Amino acid sequence: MKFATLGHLMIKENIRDMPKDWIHDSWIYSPELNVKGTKGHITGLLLTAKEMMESPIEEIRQNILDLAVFIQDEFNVELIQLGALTTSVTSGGKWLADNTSFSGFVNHGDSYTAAVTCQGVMKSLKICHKVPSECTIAVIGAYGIIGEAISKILVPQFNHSILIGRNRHKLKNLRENVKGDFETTTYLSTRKADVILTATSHPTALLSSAHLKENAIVVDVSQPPNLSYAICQKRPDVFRVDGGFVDLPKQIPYQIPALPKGKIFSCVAEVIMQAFENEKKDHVGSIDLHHLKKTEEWAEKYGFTLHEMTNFGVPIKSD
Amino acid sequence: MSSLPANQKTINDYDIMIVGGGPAGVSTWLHLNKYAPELAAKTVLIEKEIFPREKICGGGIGGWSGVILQNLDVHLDIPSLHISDIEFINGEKTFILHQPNCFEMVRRIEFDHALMKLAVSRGLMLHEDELFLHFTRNHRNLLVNTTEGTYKVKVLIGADGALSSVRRSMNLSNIPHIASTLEVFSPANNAFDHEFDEKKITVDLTFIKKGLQGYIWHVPCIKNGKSFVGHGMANFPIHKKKPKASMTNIFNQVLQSRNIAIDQKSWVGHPIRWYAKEDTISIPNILLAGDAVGIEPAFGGGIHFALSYGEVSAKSIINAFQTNDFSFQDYGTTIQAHLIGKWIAKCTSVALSLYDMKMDPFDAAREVFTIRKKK
Repeated sequence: MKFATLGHLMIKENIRDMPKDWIHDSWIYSPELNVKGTKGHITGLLLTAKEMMESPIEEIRQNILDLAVFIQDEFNVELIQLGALTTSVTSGGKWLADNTSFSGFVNHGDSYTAAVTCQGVMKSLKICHKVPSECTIAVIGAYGIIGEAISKILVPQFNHSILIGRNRHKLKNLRENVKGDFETTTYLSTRKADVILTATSHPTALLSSAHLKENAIVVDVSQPPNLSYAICQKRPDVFRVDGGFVDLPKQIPYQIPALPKGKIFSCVAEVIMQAFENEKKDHVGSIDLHHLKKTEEWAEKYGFTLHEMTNFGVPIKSD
Repeated sequence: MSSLPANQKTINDYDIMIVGGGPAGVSTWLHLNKYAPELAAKTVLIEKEIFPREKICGGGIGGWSGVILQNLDVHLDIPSLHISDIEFINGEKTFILHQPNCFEMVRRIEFDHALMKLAVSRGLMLHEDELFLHFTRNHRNLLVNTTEGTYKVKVLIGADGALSSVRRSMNLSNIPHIASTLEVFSPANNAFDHEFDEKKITVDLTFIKKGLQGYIWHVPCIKNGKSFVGHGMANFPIHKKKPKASMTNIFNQVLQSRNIAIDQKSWVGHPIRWYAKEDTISIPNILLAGDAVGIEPAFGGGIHFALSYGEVSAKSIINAFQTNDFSFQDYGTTIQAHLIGKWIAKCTSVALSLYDMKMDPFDAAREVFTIRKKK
């Protein structure tokens, strides 16, 4: 099954990191890539995160659909992974999956991202000699696709959990979907959290130094990051981890533009693995925890691992 | 529920008298009945009113109430609303503490009546519409005068509320620790009251910074099959030298913010007593229980305390009969060593900091309302 990732630029400067033959008039699309015999393309809109957030949703959706139909018709793509804000703009991918103009399958890739994020939290705790049953975790963006799945998995393991989001109604739904005891709030109540997990689509860094407990662990899945490099420099006690990346298997020697060497977005890894498996299914909307578990099994099978964690691309030493 | 004794005669039929038919009094009898049925059979409970009787209270059955009721094999079939969310407000900031089924909202008129009916069905001798008047000592017994007669008993339990007549008759030299409350009930207004739809309790701590040593509550309840919300406020003057906030002004402001126009004359208020470890709560042959002893001064949660006081008082009574020592001199230390005593001590510490603005109100709320730790 031929796959494609469909994303967008974070900032205009990202264009500079792209191979020139990927840039086209309307979109970004790579030549055909061969990943261990499975073919695919990396594609995207020529819009920045800011433009994605500020443009009318109908316009963005049409742009996504046009690109999806183009790669379907031109390259015989059957499986599309929606990256970054293309997921939220399409209601977790459901809008594209339901659209009859695109006949293939859609995956937001967030199931494996959520799984890897949970692994990252546990690995960080271990490195910092902490145990979840004695810690408070704050999840920012808790009712998002990734945040909700992570909350479902991690809330029962932590001593206390603070689930954060801006929309009261969405927080209410979250309370109905997450089992266990926790608190929800609309303000950034992270000051007492031992672990902060961010999974938002906020266009700027949300966390200031005042939001961070001494020696806090921050697993930042958000793109752009919710904790800035500058604050990280000011707060060396804080243990920050780039979320949403995994190590590529050695047999797949690609260098993804703008990513640390040997790393790949976990959402992209998920769609590659689905293509390997030739699984003809949509994985859109809320994450099915059974599917999430399955992505971990696929990762083990194909050699995608969270071996080495990074902070702004710099490897973190585990000792 | 049972026949009253003949007027003004000396009644020798009972060894124990419980004054007050609320949860503390009934819990005392239910625990006696569980652990020493022979003593329960020689116990009379007098209640000044006739059941079902109104009781001003938020009606939240929470804390460890479920454990005690289960231990007593008490399952009441009354309308109730299961609450999993408590929303705390401090100015613009809010958070919701989510703990599945942490409160069961009931109407006290129904809860107290159902609990009493259950106790009577298990053999409790209940005398309704009978008032405690005073007691005198007679050798090692007490002669207790009520509006219906004189009882000769070995033990008297004052479970008759914050303004306990039994407590007053004991002439204790305690410093009074009395909080005030105000409360109104109004039909749920979907535009302003989200407590019913969202099945949550709201606790507003905003007014602490305006001098209130207390908080505002909004609780959902069902009255005659209809959705109501109870709006109330409590003020615990734990720092006696601090300037007093005007409860009336604050409550007016709160009701206006919810578009409630209930005349001040229709507001109801009741006192709450809180317990301090220096308080004397027993004298020979006489124990206090429930609100007559006092609850915690941070948020004033009461029903679980009442049920627990019943357990401690019953066990103290059983011990007294077993050892033939009716001094009850260890009752205070027994209470302090029990979960209720420890909890009250913790909440007192929270209240002292919270109402002196030395503790973040949300941290105080977490300290008191978090009921399950996952460790």
